[in-house]
Amino acid sequence: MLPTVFAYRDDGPQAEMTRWKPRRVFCTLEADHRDAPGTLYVVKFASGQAGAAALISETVSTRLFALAGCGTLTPAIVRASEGFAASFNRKSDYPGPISHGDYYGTLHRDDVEAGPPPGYDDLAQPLELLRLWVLDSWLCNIDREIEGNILLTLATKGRFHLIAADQSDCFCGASVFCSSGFRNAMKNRGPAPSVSFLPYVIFKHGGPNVIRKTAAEVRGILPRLPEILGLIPESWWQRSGLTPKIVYEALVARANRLEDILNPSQWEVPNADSAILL
Amino acid sequence: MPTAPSSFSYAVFRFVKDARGDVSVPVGVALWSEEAKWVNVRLVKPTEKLRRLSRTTDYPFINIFEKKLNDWIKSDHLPYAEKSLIPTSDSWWRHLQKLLIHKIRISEPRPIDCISPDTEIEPLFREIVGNAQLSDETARIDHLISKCLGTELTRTLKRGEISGYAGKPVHVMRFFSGSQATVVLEGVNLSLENAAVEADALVGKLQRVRANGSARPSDGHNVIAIVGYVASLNGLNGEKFLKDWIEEAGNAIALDVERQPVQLREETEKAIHAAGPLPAFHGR
Repeated sequence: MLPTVFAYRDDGPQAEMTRWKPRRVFCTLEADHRDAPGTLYVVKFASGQAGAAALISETVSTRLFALAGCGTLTPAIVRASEGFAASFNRKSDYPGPISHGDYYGTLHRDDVEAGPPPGYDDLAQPLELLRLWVLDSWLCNIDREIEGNILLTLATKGRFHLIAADQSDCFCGASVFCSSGFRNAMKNRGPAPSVSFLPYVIFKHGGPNVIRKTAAEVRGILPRLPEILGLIPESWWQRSGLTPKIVYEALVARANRLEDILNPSQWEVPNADSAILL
Repeated sequence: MPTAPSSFSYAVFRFVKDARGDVSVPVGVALWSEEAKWVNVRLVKPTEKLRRLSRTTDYPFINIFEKKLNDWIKSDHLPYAEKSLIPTSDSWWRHLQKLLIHKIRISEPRPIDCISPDTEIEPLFREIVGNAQLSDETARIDHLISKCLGTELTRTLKRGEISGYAGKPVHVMRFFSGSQATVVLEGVNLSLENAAVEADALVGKLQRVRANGSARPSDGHNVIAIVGYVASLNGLNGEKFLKDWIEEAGNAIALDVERQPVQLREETEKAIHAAGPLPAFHGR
């Protein structure tokens, strides 16, 4: 289970320009806030059908990224009480009203900068980028290359590790995810977008073999899927119109075709063994 | 008919040390004008020490941010911008302010009566970032030199920049611009591990100052350079060659701030006298 924390006080907007306009919220471990002010979280008060789909996308995908060895933010279910929702709706500059209930949040980190990374030399472990791309391709993430959807955390020698920071637009994007076109979209979508120097990472770190190896590792987490889908609050399934079965089937089908989707053979270099990488 | 003056704006970059405690350090400035079609950014460099900013754990964030910022400025593109924005406009920088939510943040655009942006951005940076937060070491040497000079003589020398090679500004610890020559007073710690690096940087700086307006250093205008140095506990040991190097290659008089305070003051007085009185008019 994801931990549940309780929204105590809003600390203002975190990223005003993104679709779900996440907020910084101090959250307590106790519903009566006796441990106030608690800990700072970044919370998506995504509402409506697409909002619920985005919260499911975040929860499922973030867990899958973590199991696959990618850096992720620490997630939690953030429960907004009636009192918090009423106060929030009266006083905040948030564009729409929120209702009481469960939302998705991650622990706020103040030791990161927004990605994507500008270049190869900024990466502590370039294969982290490849792993993100393989998972994004499996999960049909549509916007990894957008500013802030990767976060950068300092490793050593001025280089950075990557954190998969925003998974609300996996499953072909929240609007498609909760639509009737979801299954077809998951069937037809190609590999995910990434940064411009991904081909350099692939060529420099093993070409097609490293893609095949990573895809096999990613498929290795499939048995954990039912457990991960069990993390989703029932209210999100209801609001989104989705079911665990639909999501499970779409992910398994796509995992089985992952190599076809990634098409590692396109990275084959004739006489690669004797080639010199410039 | 006189042309209308260009309207400039500036903003301050801050590095967030502790988001929850709202603790941040100024690390740079941006200066721009839509009318003048001019924009420039000055962020602290890894070679510049700032108090409360770690070279290993903080600078990499500034470095990676600077790369992204340069890309955005060059491409005229900012993430999440719904319409095309140009980096010489206030709206571009307002948008950037909303975008920067992690380690590097930027203030709102602020008005400034800037007349010569090329020469004013560096003093603006120094005023906001540099002078307010000189590294502990620089501040210590500056303090020791001021003590040697006494209050009146210290006031005679200004802090700031003088024109160097290719007319570009060079920041010096203190200077006096007389009618015959410019006196430059600098400081260096020769007792530190990186003393050789500091000494080389100082010699390079003095050569750049001397090369004002000419391609060859030997053609430069008259500069009298005096360097106050801090030596090891028992006086110069293995680093004496660095003092000699500063005197020879930097064409400077180098004196120990702790052991030769009187000589340092006397040499400075002599140099100011030789530099002649201030020019009758020295406006901007």
